[in-house]
Amino acid sequence: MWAAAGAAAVTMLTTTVLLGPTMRPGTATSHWDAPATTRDKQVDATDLYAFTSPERQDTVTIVANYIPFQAPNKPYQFDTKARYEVHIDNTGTGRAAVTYRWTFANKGLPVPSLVRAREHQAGPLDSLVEQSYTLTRLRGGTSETLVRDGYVAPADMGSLATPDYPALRRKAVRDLPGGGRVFTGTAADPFYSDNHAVSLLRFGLPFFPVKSGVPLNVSSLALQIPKSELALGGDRRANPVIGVWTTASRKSSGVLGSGSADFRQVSRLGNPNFNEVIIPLKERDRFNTLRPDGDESGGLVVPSTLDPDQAKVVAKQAKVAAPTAPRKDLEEIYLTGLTTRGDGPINRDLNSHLLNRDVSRIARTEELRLNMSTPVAAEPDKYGLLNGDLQGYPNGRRLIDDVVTVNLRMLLGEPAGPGAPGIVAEDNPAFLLKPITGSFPYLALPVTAG
Amino acid sequence: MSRTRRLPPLLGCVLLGGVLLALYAPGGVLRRDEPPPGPAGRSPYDLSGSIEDAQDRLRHRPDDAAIWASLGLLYLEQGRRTADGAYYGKAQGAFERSLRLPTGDGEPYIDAVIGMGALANARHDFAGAVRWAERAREAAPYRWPLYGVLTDAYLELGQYERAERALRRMLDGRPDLASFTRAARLEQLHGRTGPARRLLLRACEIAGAPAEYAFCQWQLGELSWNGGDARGALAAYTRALAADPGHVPSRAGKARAEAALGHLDQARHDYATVVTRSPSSVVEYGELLEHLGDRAAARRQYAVFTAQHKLLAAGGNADDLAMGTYEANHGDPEAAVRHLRAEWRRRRSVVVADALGWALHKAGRHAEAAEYAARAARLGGHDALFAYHRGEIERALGHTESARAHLTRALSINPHFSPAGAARARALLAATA
Amino acid sequence: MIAALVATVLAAHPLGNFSVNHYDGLTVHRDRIEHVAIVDSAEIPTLQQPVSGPADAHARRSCARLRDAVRGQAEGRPLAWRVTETSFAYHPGAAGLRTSRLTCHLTAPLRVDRPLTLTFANAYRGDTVGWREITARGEGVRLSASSVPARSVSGMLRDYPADLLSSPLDVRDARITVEPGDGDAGTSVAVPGVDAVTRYTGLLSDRLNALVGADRLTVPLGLLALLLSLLLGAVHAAMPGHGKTVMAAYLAGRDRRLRDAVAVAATVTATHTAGVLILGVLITVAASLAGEAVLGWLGVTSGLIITLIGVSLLRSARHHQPVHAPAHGHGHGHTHGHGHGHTHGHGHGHGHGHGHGHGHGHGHGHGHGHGHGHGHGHGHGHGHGRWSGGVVALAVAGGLVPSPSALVVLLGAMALGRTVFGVMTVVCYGAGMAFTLLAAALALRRLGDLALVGRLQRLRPYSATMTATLVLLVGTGVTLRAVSALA
Repeated sequence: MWAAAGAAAVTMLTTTVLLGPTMRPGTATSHWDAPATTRDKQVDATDLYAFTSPERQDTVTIVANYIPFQAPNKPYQFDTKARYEVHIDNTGTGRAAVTYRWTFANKGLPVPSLVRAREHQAGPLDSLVEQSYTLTRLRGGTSETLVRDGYVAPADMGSLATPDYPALRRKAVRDLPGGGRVFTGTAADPFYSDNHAVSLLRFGLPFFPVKSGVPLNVSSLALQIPKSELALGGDRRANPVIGVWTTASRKSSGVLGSGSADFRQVSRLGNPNFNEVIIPLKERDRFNTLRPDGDESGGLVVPSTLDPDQAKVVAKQAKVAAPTAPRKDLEEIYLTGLTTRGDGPINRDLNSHLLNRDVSRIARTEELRLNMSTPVAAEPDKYGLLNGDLQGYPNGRRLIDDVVTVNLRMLLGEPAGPGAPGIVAEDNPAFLLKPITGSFPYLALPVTAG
Repeated sequence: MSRTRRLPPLLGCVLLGGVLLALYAPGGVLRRDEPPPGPAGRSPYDLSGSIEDAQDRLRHRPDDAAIWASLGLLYLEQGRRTADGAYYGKAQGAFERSLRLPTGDGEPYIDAVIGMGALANARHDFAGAVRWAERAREAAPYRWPLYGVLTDAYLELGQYERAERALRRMLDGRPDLASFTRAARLEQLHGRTGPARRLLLRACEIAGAPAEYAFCQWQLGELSWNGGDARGALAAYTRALAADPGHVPSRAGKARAEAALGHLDQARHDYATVVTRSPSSVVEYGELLEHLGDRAAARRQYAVFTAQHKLLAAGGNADDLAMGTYEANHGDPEAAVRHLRAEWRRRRSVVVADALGWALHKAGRHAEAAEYAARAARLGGHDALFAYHRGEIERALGHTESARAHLTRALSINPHFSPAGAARARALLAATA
Repeated sequence: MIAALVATVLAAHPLGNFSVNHYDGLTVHRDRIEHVAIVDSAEIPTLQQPVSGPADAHARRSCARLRDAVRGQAEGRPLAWRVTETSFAYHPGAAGLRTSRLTCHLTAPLRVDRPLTLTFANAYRGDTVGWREITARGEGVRLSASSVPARSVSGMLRDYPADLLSSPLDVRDARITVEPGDGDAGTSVAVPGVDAVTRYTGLLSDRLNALVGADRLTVPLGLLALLLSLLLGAVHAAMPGHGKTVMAAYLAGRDRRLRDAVAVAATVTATHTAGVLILGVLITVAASLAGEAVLGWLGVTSGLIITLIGVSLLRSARHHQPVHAPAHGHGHGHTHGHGHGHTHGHGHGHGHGHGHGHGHGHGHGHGHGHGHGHGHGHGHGHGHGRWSGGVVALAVAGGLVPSPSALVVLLGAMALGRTVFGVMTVVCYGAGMAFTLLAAALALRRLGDLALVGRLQRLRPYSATMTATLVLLVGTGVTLRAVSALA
């Protein structure tokens, strides 16, 4: 679970409230200080998925998960003073051609405490407040409201507070103008990972104060969008490749009557684990504030990808040889997409924007790239590309992909070189903690404690 | 007849319903002993469980600098929550261990550097905290937590412009609970309670864990208290304690507010709970007891304070501000001046200026006292205690009008600022009216 | 490497000079349990708790308080602790201050002649920061299970381990199972005092629980479960309970009328079913409820209702010339009611709570329900219309306390997502109770028609008053006992 994703890293990693009120003996009033780092889960992008919808193959499903590590039966809310966004780049420049933006508002009063267990009555985060959302599409300089007063599926709080939960799930799935669908709300977290892969890949990374391997919930923003709405020029056959990332921005505040109260981007997520594994720890908070169109010249993303510190650490732990820098293979995987038309060592046309007919030049930017024309695999393989399943990660990401293992193996050299394919036993028991469903939003109903 | 025959069962059902409701209503006395069963085990943010996990990992991977740093931070948090200084030693051990271990880029692990700064703040070594945080800033200017350490340290050192700069950097980089609460504090120091309250309410909205929520509510309580709203403060402290029953500062605040509202038995009970958990409020408790006429009980609390500071001094951690404040009010003013001059050499915050001014006044050096009292007011904050001190100093200097103005101001800011002080301020105003 | 890591450093107090540290060492013998309690206070708490008077008097006082804060139970029954030895001493601490050490030896009688489950918790000064450690071992008996170790890692609070990878202990309670024998398997002895009915009922309800929780619930399996619950309900209604005597006496004082009997049976059944259902739903929804405490409170309510009825009966008996009533009802009812009142908590509580592995505390409450129901079976009165209300109220009081076994079955079914089936089970349970009650009523009616009643007609003039007094007494007894169980 730790590896849930890049942005989660930042806030979770330092993990702890560095310091709150001091209780130094004998000094009640002489010293004040506040937490330095907090569990700022509300704006934590934890996972991003993008794949061709298996039963509606003219559409793409994108799931952005926020607020990780939700305990069963506990309510969690989105930040009402933040923007949650999913961006689509169909030109390979790092600029969003289409952006879907969620904003949230609280509705009505909290559910009475009579039906709530005592331990659920702590903070506002813990009160079961119904939320509604507005979904806006930003495209070509104009914005269009797709959903107003949308229903956010709450946590499953038991039969009295949230009776007939499956009906609430259905209520939270809405049709969008133009043939798409949206789901917003709580679901079982589909993330899973292999323990051995996690312990190798995360060596030297901060420790999560979270028990892994426990089924937990997450707050999902899920879209199912016709491919033609996302493809460059609306032509999904000629321009099938898109790049996807999600961001959260929160309204800041001035101080002492001056300073800006603008929205600040506090979370960014494209490829899973990219921020944790590729970006050095010291720059991880910074990565969260960056936009992909600045990656090429920003002096952080490109050099970090070409020579990731973590590769050496992991290789040493795993007692294998790490490929030598510069890692053009990682650049191809994470920053350009796989293509034979560039100078990357992976000789395969898969998911680079260069495969789009109307694209001639691309920038190196970190995005989760999906070729929408790759046929849906009859038997999906959780190791995706590495096991020859072209529809799997890193060509987009499906709910069943074991991205931690795939990232670990790619960090150690696959698929450009021999790498260390056997580093994680393929018959390991890692599996989805709660099976996904066959139709949108595919996410299992929230985990409950009962 | 058939009607009377049906009535009893109906009544019975109503009665049954009534009984069940009374028992099950929220706030009822009944609790189920067994926790609800579930696959989740403990709460995912359980601190002591997280410490166990980190320890367990380190037993298998003793050279992982990152986990050592995380363990240090967890110990630090544990020390903060349990009011137990022994964890600070453990935190230091873990950070030092992390700093010695190799990392990917060959430099010390950044979170351990920041953690050392936070630890220094916790131990009131603010200059040391600045050094650690500046070291972290050089290596990783985008690691936001370091700015929190830096802001806190500068605020305690009285370097308010630097604190503000660090804070602005933090707010621009990452607006979150850590930066909002610190911004609220800076606003409050400048007497801007409205913005401070808005920032704290915003921070409470985004609190991610009960302990964080308790922290915000405690701060809201302090803000209300300092503004004279004992009832509002009590409500906020109560909310904090509902989220985190072990939050000692909120318990102390609750006791203080209860005493102000005349709920003396509850106040004593809460203070008694606080002083078994942490000695931070023994002097305050003693002052209340003394004000209520129980000198013997008050002396017992003062004895605890003295013993605690003997222990601290023996450990090389003397706290001159606390000692000086105590000596000025309950002991030897000359000793108070000595302690506070030493503190003033180290840091020049408004709190230290006020304490030193008051000690000088108690020692009879009123003119010098007035200088420090003016320094304490330099940010324009609304602090009843500062105003009261200033009033007393002005009065000693024979400036009756000015003294009246300050005393009036003290009582208008917070009529309950101190049991004895407020009574005396009222008496002085009445005497000079 | 690991050894180097966890190299133990000895520290004075692992939790600083503000800590109060506890050690509880339990030793179980064949005939008793011994408890050594050590409280090691650091400098500040030592200062905060000044000793007035001689140290040994202080030690005795403190140990008495400690004894009151210690909770030990064997099979759900509280252990009676006695302080045998105490000591209190100061030790030099840091900065010229002192620390202190209180040692208390406690003992409680216990007969380990069969496997016993013991629970232990020490709440003495429970709100302070500190190391908390419990150990348990057996002497002449075997510990077959224990949640705590046998040896103290702190050398009984003398050498606290303080390396970076260990956290201070915070063990506040223990649960151990002891068996007779020293190392060899304990010989299980038949338990005297638990009557056959209770034991077989326990077996039956175990079986029912297993059925309701079966992985696949087939139709025959379901029918079997319903049948079992019917049977269980019937047995429950027939089991001895203090309340039934009230009913018996009460109804004996009335004219025999089957209609009343049916009304009472139906009311008991309905109240009981409703009670179980409501309680079940509430417990499922709100995790903060204490089923046991609720049952206790319901016991109080039930007792109060009976008392009230007794009072009103007594008042009316003064005014009206009573109808006939057999005297044997009084005598029987009286002794039975009281005798049961004492043993009830044990016999019943054991039978049910134990059987389901669910709150042993359920015991005290549930007896009322059956008791009343059964008692009603004596109903051979054709009472005045105005008394029918009283009959029904008694029946409500009788059914008010939900039977824990029915509750457990319901909760189990709900947890498995078989709520409807659980409800059906509970209804069957109630039906079984009603069946027994009616059968008893009919039988008594027959009996009453025989000569027995006629021979006792001489006592008729006093019967109403005596009945009322009896009802009042039993009601008071039920209330008091329920209240004491709550405390």
